[in-house]
Amino acid sequence: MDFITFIQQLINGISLGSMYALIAIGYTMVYGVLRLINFAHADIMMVAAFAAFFAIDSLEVSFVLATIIAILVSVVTGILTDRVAYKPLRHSPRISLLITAIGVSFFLENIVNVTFGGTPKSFNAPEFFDTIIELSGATLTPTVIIVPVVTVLLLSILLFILYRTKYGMAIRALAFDIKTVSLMGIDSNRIIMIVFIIGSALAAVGGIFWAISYPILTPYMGVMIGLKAFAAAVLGGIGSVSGAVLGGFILGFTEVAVVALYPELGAYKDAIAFVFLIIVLVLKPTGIMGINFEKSRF
Amino acid sequence: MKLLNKVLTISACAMLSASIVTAKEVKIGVIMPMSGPIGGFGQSANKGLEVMHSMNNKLDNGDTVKLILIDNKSDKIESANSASKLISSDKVTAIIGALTSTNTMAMTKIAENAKVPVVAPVATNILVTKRKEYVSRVCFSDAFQGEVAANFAINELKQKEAVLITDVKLDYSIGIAKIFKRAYKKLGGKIVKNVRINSGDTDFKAMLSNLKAMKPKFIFFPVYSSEAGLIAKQARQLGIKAKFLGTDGMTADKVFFKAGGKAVEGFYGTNLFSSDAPKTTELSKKFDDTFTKQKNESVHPFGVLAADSYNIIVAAMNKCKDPADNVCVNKNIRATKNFKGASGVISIENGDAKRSAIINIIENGKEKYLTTVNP
Repeated sequence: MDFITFIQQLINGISLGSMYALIAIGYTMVYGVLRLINFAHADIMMVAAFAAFFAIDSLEVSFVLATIIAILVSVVTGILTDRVAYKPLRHSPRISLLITAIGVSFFLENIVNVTFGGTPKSFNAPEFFDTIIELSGATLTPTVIIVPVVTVLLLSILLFILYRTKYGMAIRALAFDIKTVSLMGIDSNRIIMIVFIIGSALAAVGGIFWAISYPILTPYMGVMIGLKAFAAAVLGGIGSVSGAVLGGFILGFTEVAVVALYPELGAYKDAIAFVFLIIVLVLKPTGIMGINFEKSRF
Repeated sequence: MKLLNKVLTISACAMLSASIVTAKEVKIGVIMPMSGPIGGFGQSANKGLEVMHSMNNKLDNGDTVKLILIDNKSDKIESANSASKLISSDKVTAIIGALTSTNTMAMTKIAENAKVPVVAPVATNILVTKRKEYVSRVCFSDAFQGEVAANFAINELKQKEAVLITDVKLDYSIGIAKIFKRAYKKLGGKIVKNVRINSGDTDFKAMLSNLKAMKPKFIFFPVYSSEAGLIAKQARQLGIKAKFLGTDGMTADKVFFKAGGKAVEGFYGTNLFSSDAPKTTELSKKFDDTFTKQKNESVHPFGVLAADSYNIIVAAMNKCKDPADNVCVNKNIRATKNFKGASGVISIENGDAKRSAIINIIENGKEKYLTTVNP
């Protein structure tokens, strides 16, 4: 592999990894607070992508407005899933909550399937994102620069919220011990709602980036992305926000590296990425930035 | 006289009752992917079928033909289940469908066991009709399509070195790639790289970046519309300046043109049918007119082939004393010779249609007819 190809592959890995990272944050936050693997999370990302598609294609609004609509739609969907599906089960066994999450995931997939017809939809991103920037042999599009920058920016904002604000403190406290925190007079349902708002908004941003980069949308697009983002969250250490981002980048890089180094195995890149995940987890079961759940959170 | 009168009355009654008995319904099952990843394929095909059915829904003896449509959700298992349902509960005489190779192959065994003839509109994989008594198709097999592609690459595009992209989840893609490889090598070409992808993948950048380093001149990629559109777009973003040749699955869904945008300009594609090619039968003109009038769009290759699947079954039924006799219908389907269909003249040999292939180039977001290749 020559140097330019190496740089090109590096860029590919970064942009793929940051999209996994954005979605992985949502998994990790909900898990941290509720100990729930929110399987519907990737479908919220899909809903956001379809909302943006619908806004641009049918309402013919500008891209910026479509992004805002998509974020609002996914935030509302996130709050609703929590209120309707998860809240009544707060004190039920965790397995009921998990099954409900799978149910919500199927529900969202099928409702979009029925509404939009299930055929692949093409997402019309503004021309700007297709501009080709040539850098001494390596070619870039604005997307591959914007995506990682936005990811890091959002991560910093999130870390600020978590460690420098009262709400962040409440979220961390909730993750520590939900019952005691409620006894201390904190409205746990409201804080959980905030967690869902943050997670869904990040998923929406991830979904729109995904739609720009890979402009074919299907109702089941979330399934594989969700599985990978979840794997990224576990790899980085579930419950840790920075870990989720790190995991996302590692997964993105692994996938690209497999194809770059062993092109013959290109069709098995998912399998190899997951084998890598298993190896890391065997060596370090809590994930890379894994946290001891009895001691600290996030 | 009285006796004669009586005889006449009785025979008239008999005829009347006979005509009441015969003016019945014959059912044809239709299995199409109306939703799911290749839902666009099924919707295009079904439009053609609807138009053809509206043009002719009666057999020669006055029976009405009823179509029973089941959506297989682009899935193999659903296709097999749909076939079982159509055969055992709806009691259909023949089945049009499952449309594409993988899905058709999942249901042929069931039809074969029940002796219900299947006519596949666009299942081009070689194995679809292999060692099957009751499976036929109105499209050519990939043995032909792969050869046409190889010939075109060597003789017209003058490309002696090719990169091959195969979708290892698609029987269709694997089949064409295999034939293409063999034919291309025989003609003096060389496959410099064989890349494998999975349908459903969205990120091809890593794979394409590797290809870019090889500076390929020509890429043959027999994959479906979604993947083809994404590959085209990402190849352009990476600055790959090769000539691309695809197959009928590439352009089948318009999502390819929409998602590909400018990136697909200048792509070549082999196809089953082009409404711009010179028309060879009377029905093709009539069908073209009715279709554009009813649906307000130009005829899709999948639509016209679904229509011809229907036409061939109806023609076979007309040749049988009892149009609901599936064994007789199958015998006549497989004996189809020089049938003047909506897509051209069709002859069926061992279940495979012998017909010409079309080569298009993509210009201004549309397929432009280049040439016809006869078998």
